Amino acid sequence: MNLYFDNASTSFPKPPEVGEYINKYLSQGGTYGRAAYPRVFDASKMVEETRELISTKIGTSLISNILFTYNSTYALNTIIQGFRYKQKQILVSPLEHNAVGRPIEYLKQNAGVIFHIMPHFSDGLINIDELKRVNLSNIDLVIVNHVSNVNGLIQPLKEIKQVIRGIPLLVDASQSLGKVEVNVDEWGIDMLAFTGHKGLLGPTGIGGFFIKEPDLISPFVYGGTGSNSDKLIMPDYCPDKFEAGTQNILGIYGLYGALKHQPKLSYNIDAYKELLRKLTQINTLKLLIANNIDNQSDVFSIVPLKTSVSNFTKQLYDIYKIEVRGGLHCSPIAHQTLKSYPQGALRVSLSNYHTDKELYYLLNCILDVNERTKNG
Amino acid sequence: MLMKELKMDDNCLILFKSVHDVIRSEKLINSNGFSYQIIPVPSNISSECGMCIKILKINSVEIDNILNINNINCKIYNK
Repeated sequence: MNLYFDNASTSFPKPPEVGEYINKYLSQGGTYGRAAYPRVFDASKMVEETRELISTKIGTSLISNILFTYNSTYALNTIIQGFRYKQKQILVSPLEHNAVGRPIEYLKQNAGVIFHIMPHFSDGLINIDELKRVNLSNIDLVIVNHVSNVNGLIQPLKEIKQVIRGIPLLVDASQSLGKVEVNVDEWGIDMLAFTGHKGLLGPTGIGGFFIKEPDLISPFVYGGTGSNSDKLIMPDYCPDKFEAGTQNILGIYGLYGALKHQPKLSYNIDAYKELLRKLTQINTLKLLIANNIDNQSDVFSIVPLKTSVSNFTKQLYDIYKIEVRGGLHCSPIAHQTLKSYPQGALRVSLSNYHTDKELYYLLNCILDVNERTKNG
Repeated sequence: MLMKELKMDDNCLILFKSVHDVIRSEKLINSNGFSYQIIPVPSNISSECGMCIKILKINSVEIDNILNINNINCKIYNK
């Protein structure tokens, strides 16, 4: 039985092909460009095929505008710190992770760039009608966490972009890619950061971003690209502009294996809804979920009202070996929005490999630990 | 084998800015059945992306058209 329910941290298990492709790279070697012998060509081709698979996954025809980094935090920093601010004002969603929260706080303290939280409902869903009334004339950049890593709420990206129009929209797709639909070209998304090791089921250490207009940002890292080598300035074209230094080719091979072998959902969506419905009926637990089930992904959190988050989390593991994450999930902004700050919550995050039986078992384990702890 | 040996001396080179464009082009040239070879860019020509594609000169116009249609930034270098 798969008792790992911490897939929002990093997914497990992975498709077996992830390891197979990593081993393939370890046995074959090669780097990206810099030479033209077959070992290099084969590795370079695999990098480009992976780039193409990502372009299909996020829905863009601009394949060269997908850039590999080490994870989404690195991608978000590349964009947020490399962005050319004019009015020095940013609008952010109310459910941001520290991968956005800390870079924008850094800019506030060191570059005078101010951020504002977007108008929202109690579950953090951006209030589109209220957003239409916000004065956007001084906003340089809008940043939205597509799927919250705390309550799993899915933000309406297409509607948000329709309101903000020409203001660049940066989407943090760390929790969404591989789990919910993403379509950057159709929705008009300007920039999108992703990681390989969560919903895409790849290895750690590989992620990246998409940028429609590369001129919007300066490179974050400067160095060798194997191109324009006679010059001390970075190439001004993609992908070279943002890929200085040797990429994580081992990770890219693993990600390729994952992208080519994405598993279908093994549990019934009605079983998941029933799990949430039953948990909302327990008066000693507060559930952090979307107000409307249609906006809910496969991540949710629980605040135990009669014991600490850490005690509940520990008992789930000690008694039943259930692996979940308790705490603030690197998301103080989100927990403040959801009124679960500073105690945090116990987070459950599913995998496509989970079955109805495992969801049912999880429910019973939570109910049992609640019974054991509800009297303090 | 990804690379096919060219049998004729009458050839030319396609030069690219980036490896990304080399790989995309190789896929197109290969799928259209042209003979080609991936080789290092001769240092007397350019310091660009490290690899280029050697093709038969007689195919250069047709290949150039295919790459242009696919928005690939490249230039044909005739020896």
